[in-house]
Amino acid sequence: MIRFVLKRLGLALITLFLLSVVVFAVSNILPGNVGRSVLGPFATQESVDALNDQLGTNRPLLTQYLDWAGGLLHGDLGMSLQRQVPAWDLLGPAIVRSAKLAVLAFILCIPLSILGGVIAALRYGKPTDKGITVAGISLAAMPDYVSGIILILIFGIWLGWLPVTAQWPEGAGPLTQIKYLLLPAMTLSVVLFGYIARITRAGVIDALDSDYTRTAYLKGLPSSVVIRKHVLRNALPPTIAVVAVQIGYLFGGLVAVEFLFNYQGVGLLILDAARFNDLPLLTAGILLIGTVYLVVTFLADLLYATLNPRIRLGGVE
Amino acid sequence: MSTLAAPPVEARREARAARSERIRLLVRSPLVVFGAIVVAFWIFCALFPGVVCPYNPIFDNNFVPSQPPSWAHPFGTDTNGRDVFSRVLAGSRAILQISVAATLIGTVLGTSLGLLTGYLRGVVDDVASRMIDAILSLPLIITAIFIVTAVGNSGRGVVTLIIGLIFTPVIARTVRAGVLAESELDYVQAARLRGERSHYLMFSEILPNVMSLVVVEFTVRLGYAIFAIATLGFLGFGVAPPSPDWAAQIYQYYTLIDPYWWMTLFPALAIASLVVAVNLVADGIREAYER
Repeated sequence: MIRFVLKRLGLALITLFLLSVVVFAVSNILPGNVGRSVLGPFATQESVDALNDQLGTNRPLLTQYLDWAGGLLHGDLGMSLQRQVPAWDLLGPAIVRSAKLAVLAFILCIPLSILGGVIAALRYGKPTDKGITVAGISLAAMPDYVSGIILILIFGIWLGWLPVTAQWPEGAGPLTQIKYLLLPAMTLSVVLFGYIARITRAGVIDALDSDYTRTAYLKGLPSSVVIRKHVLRNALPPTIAVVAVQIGYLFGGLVAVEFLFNYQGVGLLILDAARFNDLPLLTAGILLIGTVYLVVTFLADLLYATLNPRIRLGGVE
Repeated sequence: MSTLAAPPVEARREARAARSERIRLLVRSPLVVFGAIVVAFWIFCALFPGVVCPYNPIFDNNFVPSQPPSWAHPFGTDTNGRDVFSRVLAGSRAILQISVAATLIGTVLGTSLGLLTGYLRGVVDDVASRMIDAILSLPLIITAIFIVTAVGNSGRGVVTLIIGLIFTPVIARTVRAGVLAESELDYVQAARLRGERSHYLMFSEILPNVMSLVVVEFTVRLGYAIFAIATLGFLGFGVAPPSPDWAAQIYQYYTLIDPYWWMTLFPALAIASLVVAVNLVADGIREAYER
């Protein structure tokens, strides 16, 4: 188990290092002249030079990278150009707000989608299964904001049950906040439902098909026990791993959903940074998202290993 | 010599039989057929907007603006007095062009890269795999926004190229896995013993045998490409107005959704129909090939 953990940790660190190299390369080499691309074609050459001087982008690339990466290791993510504050001061609170939204989305969709997947698998090949599977494919395929628009129209405008923006009034209590977050969270859950239900279904079908399930049935166990103790216990660990990986992809969905509902999370912050050509803030935000993704996948691997005795006890690498 | 020539003919006949079997499976599935009809409908609209649109989608702006759906305008009119129905029908063109081109770029580059890394292995393979992991730790949309901003241009060509390049590692990874499995097989060994060159082995021996993987990847990625391009368009990195484009229409009108819901809802439903249809077809093809 320790070897497994160390190996995964090592891989994650290497990937993180490579990610920083790629991100650095994109933000420093692609624009050609960083100062020019930030200020636009009409800025004077002096102001472009001054900005390049301030950002240090006229130094050799390797020096720049080492300087930047050194800063990252000390928790210095750089300065936002547009707002002239440390990037972390903006990203920190934004990450917290996005996390609130993400947690609510997971609470809404995990039980429902696992239930959906299990039901589909138990009704394998029947209309219920077909219905859940097709709904899952369709919902997962749709861009988040498209389902968001449909939800806004139904629950926000025609029925008038929920607020259509996520900006709650100043000083709102947790319950009011949840009410304002419900529509964006539902939007994110719709996409996740498709993925999670599909993986659960596949896992349960595999487990139902296995020898140990047949043995359990043949030795006369009631089917509720077989499903709970034999099928689900084998089918759910892979599902949990997939669910954890989806947290990373959730960030992709967050950009469009936060934009649609005007919610000041990390997705909207990154989008604004891109709009205003605030490359340092954008770079910091992207590296942060990549890091969160790698940490989450690492934890998912650990969780999966803990749930799976074959890895926990060191049988399989 | 004749005994050596026999297997390819046999193999070709088998391949043809397998192909017709797969097509039969596809046609038998009502969902695949439904998806294919919807995709065909949107392709037709993209090719012949003049035939399907009752009004000119760009210039006919002399109707009463912001009218709700009626018999004359089934999807209503927008704030510029244009017929939303015509704009929705004409709107499939841009997204289909960009997504097909981007997926083609990604498939060609990804297949080549996958062949190379899977065949050469060693250091090239290790380095490439790690890089791919690093790039894949970012969601597609965020990578695209990042590169578009760094390049400083969100024109059609740039977006196409960026999506294609982001797909490259993903497709390369799938093809690489297929190549690794194929390289173990006897026919590759035999060709190698015959003294064939590497590029012959890669393109004439291995590639035809991983082609089904490539086809499946292409259709699946096409769905993602439409997803990504529609999302980028909604975020403001897409087709510039006044060209009819679903995502651009939503970007322009979603703040007016109350009370002008028809300007947003119908383009949104159009995106949903295209993306779901492509995924139904892709899913059917995947199942037919995995059998």
